[in-house]
Amino acid sequence: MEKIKPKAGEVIPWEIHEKEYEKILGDKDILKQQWENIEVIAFRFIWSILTDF
Amino acid sequence: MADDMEKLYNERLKRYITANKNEKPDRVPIRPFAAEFTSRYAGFTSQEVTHDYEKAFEAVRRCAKDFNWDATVINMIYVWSGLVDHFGQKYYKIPGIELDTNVGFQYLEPSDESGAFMKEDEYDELIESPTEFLTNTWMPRISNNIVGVGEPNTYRNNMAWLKGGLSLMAYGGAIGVATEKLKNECGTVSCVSGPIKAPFDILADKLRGFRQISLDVYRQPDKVEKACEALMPYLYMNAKVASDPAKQVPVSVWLHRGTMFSKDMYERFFWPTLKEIIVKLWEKDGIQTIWYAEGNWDKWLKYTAELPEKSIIYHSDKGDIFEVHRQVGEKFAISGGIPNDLLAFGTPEEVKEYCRKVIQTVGKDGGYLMDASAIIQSDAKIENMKAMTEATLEYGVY
Repeated sequence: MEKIKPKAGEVIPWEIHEKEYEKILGDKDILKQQWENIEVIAFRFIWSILTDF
Repeated sequence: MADDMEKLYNERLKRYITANKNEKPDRVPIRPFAAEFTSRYAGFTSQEVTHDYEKAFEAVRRCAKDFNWDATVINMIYVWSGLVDHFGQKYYKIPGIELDTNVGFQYLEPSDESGAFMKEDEYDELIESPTEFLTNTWMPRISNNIVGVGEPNTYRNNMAWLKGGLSLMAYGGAIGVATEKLKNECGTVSCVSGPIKAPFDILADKLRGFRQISLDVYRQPDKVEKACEALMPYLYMNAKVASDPAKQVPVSVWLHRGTMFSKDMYERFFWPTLKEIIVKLWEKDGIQTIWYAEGNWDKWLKYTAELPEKSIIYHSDKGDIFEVHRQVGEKFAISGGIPNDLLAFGTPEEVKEYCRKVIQTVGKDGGYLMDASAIIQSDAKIENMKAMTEATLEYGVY
């Protein structure tokens, strides 16, 4: 199984997800910002189960 | 918020921040870490406050008001068993389910290799990609509902992920509301933000278990060391993203297994990566850490003293708080040190006298925060908790 190896603060890095679009006609930064906003929440979910629960 | 409550809150926040920075506030802040004591005082069972977080928040507010707490933890019964139920964790016994309704929740540590949530030959997988290891390998083992990669998917698996995530969001949102209520209704500061665990403690507590890690440090020490290094940036980030954006309220580290190993092992496995997390949070992000030294950490004081000035608030549990003050009191604020057995079995006069001694010795120049040695459970007497407050108001004014 191919490893994604996410860094701290992410679960599926934007750099990987970006390649999954066929093309981006509009503002890429809007997509990136929204992607990363939820990335950090998902990261926190995984790690808070380990550290808090 | 009423003007008088806002004034009270601001006074307490200033008092708390000043003491945390090892400076002299107007008086010693009262900052208890209280768990099941709050539920007993408020008339709730342990089951009620463990499973219904609104009741836990209410119990804290009742205590904060009645005992004049300057700052406290919004819910020290930190495992909300609702989330545990939705996600399906196997490693807790919960009051009202397997335990009596008035017993605190219990953590069940794996006692042998067959029960370990991470196996002895899985260090490389953890080191290579910690978040993927937790998600794909660890979580299926700790949850009754989550299935591993390659196993047939199930409806229960999908719902556990969905409900686990929603539960954490619901709890996080409720903590935000409760923090405001604590401020607006009691004038009390929510005293702690994100959590830190030492990388070695994560291995020893939740991944391998104590018996298994005790063998690993001899059989595969290089892998243990590399695993601590691999976990370090993730645990740093986990604390950082959950910390107070205003940087007024510290994060906390709950110290577990470091005192159970030799000096050489402490130096190799425990200390370097924990130190790096705390130093980075302080020097890069300006975030203080409450060094919650569960047990007796006096033998490692010389290492703790290496941390930057003001970077931690040293919480003394079973250690000698007067020795802690002698060795690190110039660099760090100190909290705690009022023995829990005194709060449970002593008289109010004895509690008051002990608090006086700590205030006038450890807190004589500021930089001391009043609290019990360990988290306050249901055995603390109400009259003794009142005595702790009275002593602080009587002897703690500068």
